[in-house]
Amino acid sequence: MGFIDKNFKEIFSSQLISVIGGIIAGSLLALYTNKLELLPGMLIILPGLLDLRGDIGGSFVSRITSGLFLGVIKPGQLNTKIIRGNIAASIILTLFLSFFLGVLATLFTYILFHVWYVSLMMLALVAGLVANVLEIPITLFTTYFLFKRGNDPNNIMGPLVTAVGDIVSIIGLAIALTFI
Amino acid sequence: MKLIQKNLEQLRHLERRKYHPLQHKLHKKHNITRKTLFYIKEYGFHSNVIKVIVQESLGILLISGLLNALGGLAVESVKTTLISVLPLLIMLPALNAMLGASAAIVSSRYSTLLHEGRIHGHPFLNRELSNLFSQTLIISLIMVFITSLISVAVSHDHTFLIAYKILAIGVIDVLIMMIVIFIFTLSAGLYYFRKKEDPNNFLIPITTSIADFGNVVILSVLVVLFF
Repeated sequence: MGFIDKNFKEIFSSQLISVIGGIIAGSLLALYTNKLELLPGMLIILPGLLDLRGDIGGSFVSRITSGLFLGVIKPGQLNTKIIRGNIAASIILTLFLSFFLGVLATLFTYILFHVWYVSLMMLALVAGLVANVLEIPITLFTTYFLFKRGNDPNNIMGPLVTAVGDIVSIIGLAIALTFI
Repeated sequence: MKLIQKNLEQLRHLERRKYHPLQHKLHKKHNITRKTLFYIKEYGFHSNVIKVIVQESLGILLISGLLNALGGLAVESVKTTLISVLPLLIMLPALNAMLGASAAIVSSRYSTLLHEGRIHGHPFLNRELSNLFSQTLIISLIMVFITSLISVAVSHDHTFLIAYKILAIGVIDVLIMMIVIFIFTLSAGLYYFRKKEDPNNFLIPITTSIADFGNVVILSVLVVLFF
């Protein structure tokens, strides 16, 4: 077994997708440096928001893929108990955890800078919700598409969810910053 | 085939929390994995899908959120440097994504090796695992090089000194984090496996959270040291 084997190639391609997504997200973030500079506590939310999308989106895709392989979910079907339940659970988890992140960021900002910046809670909530609304259809339809084509979504969707999650999180944050 | 379908339908109608002999029968008779049978019963007619998912995910996601907020605190403390040296800000999500993905890959591969009984003796001395370690480490270092190069190019911060510092920070961060991820994954995986629990259910969320948290903390310390 050589060093550059099938595993090496698979890990390399998945890492490349994650890194490209991360660089796009980072470049989008760099466009908002003036806002980051002005608002205290913004960077406290950031790692959590990026990780949240990967965690919730990753489990979402994994459950859908298992259901597709088991035949419990039919590709293309949207209005089923499992799909509706998965989408609703993902929205509930996003709302709850974004708010939790916002509360933590507000508390930490108060402890560190003695600034009571309550808008951070709203910012995290709106950013998380926007990111979720953008991510769910992308991941769901891509999973269906890959499955219909005969690919195993498990092998492709993991890094793709991370990459898409990073980008939509920054877009969500940018939209939230514009309105709040 | 019809009999299997009929039995699986019966399984979907069972109460979610109760273990039923039908599960064991289907596993033995038709060679269907326990995980498959578990999924069919878990999201069957009597289960509330939303409640099951929220209940089972909330705990680990709250811990992960807390760890990330603490990591965010470290990033916030070096905010001025991050904003003035743009390649650092561009590189941050990419490094986070890459280390998170590495943690997930190592965790899932290690869980599979444990389940297949291919870990004999101490996991740190296993040939397949040392090969996986070298492969992920080499790939991560290549990715750091690509990320640093693009970050410097995109930000128009083209001085040699900045490029050198960005690359050095990335390489040191990845070297430390890959060692931490491996030691933690191998020890925790073995612990859960010996407790007769599936390492898959715990390792990925824990290791990715540790990778994210560790990355931002180490990155923040390195930023203070280098700038």
